[in-house]
Order: sequence, then C-alpha cells, then structure tokens
Amino acid sequence: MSETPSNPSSPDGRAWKRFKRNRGAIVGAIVVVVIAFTALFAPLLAPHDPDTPFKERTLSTAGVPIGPDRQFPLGADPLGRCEMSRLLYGGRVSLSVALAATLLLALVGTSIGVVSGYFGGWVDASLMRVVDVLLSFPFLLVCMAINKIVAKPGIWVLFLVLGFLSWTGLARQVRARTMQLRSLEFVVAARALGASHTRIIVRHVLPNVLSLVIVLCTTLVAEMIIVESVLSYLGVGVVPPTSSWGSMLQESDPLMRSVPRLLAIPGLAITVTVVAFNLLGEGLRDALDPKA
Amino acid sequence: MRSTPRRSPARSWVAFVALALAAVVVACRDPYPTPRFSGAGRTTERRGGVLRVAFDTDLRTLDPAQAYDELSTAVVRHLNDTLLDYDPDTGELVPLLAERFELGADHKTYTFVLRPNLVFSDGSPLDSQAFVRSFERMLDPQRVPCPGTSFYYLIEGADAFSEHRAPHVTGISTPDARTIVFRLKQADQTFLNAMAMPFSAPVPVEYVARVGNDEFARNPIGVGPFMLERWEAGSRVVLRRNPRYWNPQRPLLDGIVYELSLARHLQFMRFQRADLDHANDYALTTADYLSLTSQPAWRPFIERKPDIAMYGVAINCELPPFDNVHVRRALSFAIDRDAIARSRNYRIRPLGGLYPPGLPGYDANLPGAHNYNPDRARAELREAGYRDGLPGEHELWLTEGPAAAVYGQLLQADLARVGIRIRLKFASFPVFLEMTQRRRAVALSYSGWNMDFPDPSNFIDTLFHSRNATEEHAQNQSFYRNPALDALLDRARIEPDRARRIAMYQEAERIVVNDAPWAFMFTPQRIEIEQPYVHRGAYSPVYVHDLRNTWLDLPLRPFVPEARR
Repeated sequence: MSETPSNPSSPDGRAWKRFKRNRGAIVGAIVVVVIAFTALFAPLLAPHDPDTPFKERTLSTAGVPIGPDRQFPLGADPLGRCEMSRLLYGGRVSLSVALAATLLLALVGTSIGVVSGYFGGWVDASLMRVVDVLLSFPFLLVCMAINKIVAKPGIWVLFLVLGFLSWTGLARQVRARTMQLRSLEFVVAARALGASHTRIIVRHVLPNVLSLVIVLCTTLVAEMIIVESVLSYLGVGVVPPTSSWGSMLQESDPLMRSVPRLLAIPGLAITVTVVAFNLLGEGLRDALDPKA
Repeated sequence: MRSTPRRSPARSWVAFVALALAAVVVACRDPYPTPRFSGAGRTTERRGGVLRVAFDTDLRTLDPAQAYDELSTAVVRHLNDTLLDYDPDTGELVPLLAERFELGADHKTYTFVLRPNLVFSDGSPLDSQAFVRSFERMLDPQRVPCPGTSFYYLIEGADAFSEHRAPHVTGISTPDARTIVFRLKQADQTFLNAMAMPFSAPVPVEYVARVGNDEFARNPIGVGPFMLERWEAGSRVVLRRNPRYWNPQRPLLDGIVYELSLARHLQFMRFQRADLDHANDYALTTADYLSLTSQPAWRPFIERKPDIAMYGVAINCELPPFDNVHVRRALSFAIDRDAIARSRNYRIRPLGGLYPPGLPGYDANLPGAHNYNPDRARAELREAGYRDGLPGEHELWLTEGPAAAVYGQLLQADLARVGIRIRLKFASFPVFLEMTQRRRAVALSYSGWNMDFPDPSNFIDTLFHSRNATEEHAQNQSFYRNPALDALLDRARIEPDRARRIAMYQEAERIVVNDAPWAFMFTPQRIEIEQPYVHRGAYSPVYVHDLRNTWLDLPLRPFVPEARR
C-alpha cells in the first residue's frame, strides 16, 4: 500500500480514508504489527532458551508445571520449559510458515488465475481441471501423508505443502476478475493498439487484480495459521522440540483439566492473531473496493 | 406494537464474555469427585455380574498360538488354560490344566499329568493326545504363524518337526491318556515358564482344521473359564462363563465385556460415570491422574504396582561413534532420570540397570548402575577422544505418541548439555520395529522390554545374547556381542540351583551395565483403579489383566464413603 497520500481525492487516498474510519481494521492492523514485531525479535524478548527444561525449578514433585512467577512470566510447559519463550518462538514458526505459504500460494494462484482467465479456451479449461483435482484432495490427509514420506519433516515441508495445496480458491477468484477485465474497454483498446499479451497482463490486468489478491491473502494468512496449528496439533507439523502454537496445544492437551492455562495461552495467541488478520483483511476489502 | 429496545453492543459483549466464562468454569468442574456406587457390603466372594473394561487398541486375534500383544493375550488367557500358571501370591509356577508335574533326575524330562475329564467349551474331550496335536499345530509354521515357537526350541526334535523333517516331535510322548512327557535337548530352567504361556494352550485341532485359522481366530474354542459370546469387530468382545469349566468354583463373574479401540480419555470419563468397572494406568492422562489422586474419595481404590518392564535407549554397538564404550557410557550418564520421572508424575521410576524391581535377580545396589552424572559423561567423551562434544547430529528413533515425544525432548536437552546432539525421528510402530531390528540401520532408539515371564533370562538373553543379533528382526536391538557374556548366559540357562543361577544372571547384568549397550532409563509403575464394588481378587503377577478371581459386590447402592472393603 502507498503511504498516506497528500491528495485525499486520489483513489489511494480515498481508500486510506475509508480504512482509517474502520476501527476494527485499525485495531487488527496494530495487533498484526505487534505480533509480527514479537515474532521477529523473539530471541531478544524471550527470557529463556525455548527448548531447555528447567526440571526441579519448573515442575512440582507431582510433575505439574509451575504457574507464572518473576522468572517465568507465563509459567512452565509440561516439560518444564519456559512457556513465554516457547510462545514467542512458536509465534515465529506459526507466522513464518503462514506468511511464506501465503506468499507462495499468492504467486501460484495469481499466475494461474490470470493466465486462465485472460486466455480462456483450452488453457482455461485444462488449468481449471487441475484446480478441480486439487480441490478434491482431502487436504489434511495429503499434508499428513507428505509429512510422513519425507525423510526430514520440518517447517520447510510444511510451508511448501500448504503453499502448493491451497492456491486453488485464490486462482478461481482471480480468474473470474480477469475474465471481467478482459472485456472492459481499456483492455480492448490496448489490444486494438497492438499491445502484446504480456504487456496487457502486466500493465492492465495485474494492477487491477492486485487489490483482490491482497485482500484474499490477508484472510488466507489467518487460515494458514489455523491449518498449521491443526497439523502440529495432530503431530504432523513441526518436529519437536521446535515449538509452534499448534504443537504447544498438543503438548498441553493431557493437562487440559489440571492446568487449563497451558491450553488457553497458545489458544488465545492463535485466536487473537487470526481475528486480527481477518479484521485487517475485511478493512482492506472495504477500503479497496471502489463500489463500497 | 412497541418495539423492544435494542441492546447496546457493549452490553451484548459483556453478556457474551460472561457466558463464555461460565462455560469454561462449568467445563473445568469435575462432574464426579467421588465414585458413584458402592457395593452391597459383602466381604465373601459372590458369583454373578458382568465386568466391563476397555482398551484403546483393537483386538487382533483370539487364537492363542498367534496372540502376542497385550489385549489379545488378555482375552485369550480367559478363553484358554495352560498346563501351568503363576501363583498370584508367591509367583511360583503351579499346576492348572495339569494335576501335577515333575522333573526327571536328568533335569531334561518333564512329566505332566492332566486333570481328569477335561473338555473344551464345545464338549469335545481334551486328553494327552489332543494336547499334543494342538502343541504340534503351534510349532508348525505352515499351519499357524506362531510368534512364540522359540520358547520351545529346546524340546528334542522340535526344530526337525518345524522344518518338516519329521512327522512328529520326537521329544513329546503320551504314555497314557492323561500323561504328557517332554524331553529336552539340554536342561532349560525357563521351560516351565514357557508352559504357562498362552501359546501352549490346547485348542481343538479338528475344529480348527475344519473352519480354518481365520475363522478360528474369530470364533475360538478353548478349555478356559470363559467362552466367547460375541465379537463385534472394532467395538467390543463379550465373554460368558464356560459352564463346562473343570473348576466349578471359577470363574466368579458371569461375563466380561471388553470395549475395543476406546480412546484413553473417553475410557476414563466412562469409568468416572461408572460405565466401566476397572481402569488402568493406560487410561489415565496426566490431568486425569492428578485429579483422581487429589480426590480423597477415590484414593482407597487406586492401586500401584511395579510393572516388570524396562525402558531406555538402545545404542547400536556396531555403528560408530557408538561402537566406543565411552561414548555409550557418556550417553547414559548424561540422562537425568529423575527429571524424566518427574515429568510423568513419578508414574515411572528411574532405573540404572537392566532388571526392574520385582524381577528375580533385581539388585537395588547394583554396582556401576547408570545415573545422572553430566561431569562423568563429559569425562567419558574426553576419554573417547571428543574434547568438545560428539561431532555431528545423531538420529534417535521413537514411536509416534505423546509419551515418547516427551521423553525424546527431555533426552535431547540432557544430551545437548554434555555435547551430544540428537535429532528426533518418529516412526509408526511397525516401521520402528522393522528398522531398529535391522543390522546397521538405526544408531539410537527409545525402546523397552516387557517380560514374557518372570525370569532374568527373558531380559538379558533376549536383549543381549549374540544369538539374537540377527540381520533382521533382531531382538538384540543394540547388536551387542560378547562371547564371555554368551557363555555365562548359556551356563546360567541350564544351572539347576536357583540361587547359583540368579547369581550368574546378576554377574551377567553387571557386564552389560558396564558395557552400556543400552542407556537404561526407567521402569513404569502400573496403576489400577476399580469401582468400589469391584473385588479384584488375587491375580496373576505375569498376566496382569487376569480376572479369574474377580467378583462384583452386587447389587449396587449409591456411594457411601465409609463403605470400604
């Protein structure tokens, strides 16, 4: 997005004005920035190494993790590690997987959507059949299967799998928008003036689908965070001892009733982040949609 | 009509949050802080009633020759009897289907005399010849894939028979309709234990031949105290009393229901609701365990017993750098066993040697026992020539599951502290077994051993005799080879004097502990909980799911705290 423009009557300026008026979107944006900041600077903010168990210091003789105290602001996890540090480092993993996967799916989805919508015909037909096939995959099962097959599962696999399996929805929406654009006067005019396909796509189509992609991606980040949590909760996401919000939920699951805090902390982190991204996405959609 | 005033958004938020909080509070409250029912107050055993238990696995087979997992064995043991059984109080072997047995002066001939008038649950008679026909079926790999034939390989002619070089096992004879004689190639002090294993339980071979192994495994016939009523695949198995059972005093229960594939936390919820009569440790998550032990009303019904099992890290002695004894010792001395036990609420006990408490030969003051000593670990690494820790990252194989993940991460942190870096590799149980039991495949694996019978040979022979370090399916998972140990174990196996024999096994354990082919870690505590109206009775120290002497104090009445047994 552009910075605050000086001319409020330009399209960007009007969008920014609309965005500013949306309180939810502003809150969402602030929360997203704060969370991104904590994830980025986790090594500086974390009080301890996230993978070190502190044993007698953090587990009672009955094996119950201690509650928050001065040294351990959020208490300990079931293995006696610092919950705060694991939350910060876990946020790093959850967010980077979600962002990287979304970036990947945006690239793939936009390219396929634009090509499919612009050229139509057999190109469109064949690409959309690929989309149909991918949509019919049981997503979680495929993720689990791939994670089992690879020799060294980890966040790289996770991000590639998520990215390559979830671009279909975006591609369809981009395709629909491109098909509308294709018949609009300025595209027809460009074609009449002899512009090449590449030029039309790059100069006229892409800028016009970009706002749609940005809006979709913001909400997709939220979705990716959830999928990552689900996979890690099922034990096919990150490999221990790496923490992610989903794996923190999974590890605390047996202590659900005696130490509910351990589920509440990563659960809240996921909820707040997802809500923030969704608010931001909604705000962006309202702001960027010229008809609104 | 007047319109209803619209609620302000702020108020609806407050209402929403209040509702959510209320839901959380309600969800966290324990619905059953006490048992629901007490028994009628009887103190003497009573017949009748059906006991309900659950397992989180599915039932694989009811053929005693094929059952070797926990659940199958538990059910098979109620459908079948063996010649011998363990006395619940002393742990000694006592006659069961046999009326008596004796050992010949050569220590190689065993004579068993069957009880008179034994019949299978379908009414067909069981005499010595029927017993031998069933025994030969079990030994014949073409007739049934029995995982336990190696327990019987010392019977004279057993190998020739199983390789089809002889029509019968020459070492087994039946002088009369009730007598069976086994001749061994050499004396074997574990032979009697093998005759208490369900593999040896007699089955009606004519029936098996008629219906086939698969049908028999689903619809078995045995001589045990119970018979199969029905098996609803994947959900439950129902047993009922065998009216033809030779012992009119047993069983006390009319039936047993085994719920199958029931998730652990559901098992416990159903137990609390008194929909299950008995639960064991495997049904307890940490939270359930903590909440249960914190409720005084439940405490009298919780029983803790040592489980005769050992868990630790098997170290492949053939793969560098672990072929170096100092590296192996460094690994073992780096493990903080107490911290691991603490993370499991001390439901496991640290173990520095091979034999767990309860196993004959267990030595509480084992010299050289492995313990947590990071300085010694670093010193051992230096002695192996690694001044700054072990180079590289080494893979530790584990089976999938939350418990293994906890141990894996604690091990990882402990080992990192002395400079051994490991990566966790999770595999499904079949893959884990295949890989860790293959030569030169896996360097480190988190593994364990549960006893087949209470004899040290079952631990040390199985895990460390070089005969078991095979190319594939090796029980000697550390591929440890020591001719001196082999010789000692072979002598101990035939030694007739019990005290001398145990001393030999203790010497053997010291050799193994010193060479550290495993980093021994812990032995589990088995925790059993019963409803107040369940009287478990004496049960087998080996087959702990034994319900032969269990009875129910019916009719039920609402729980009264005073009503203790």
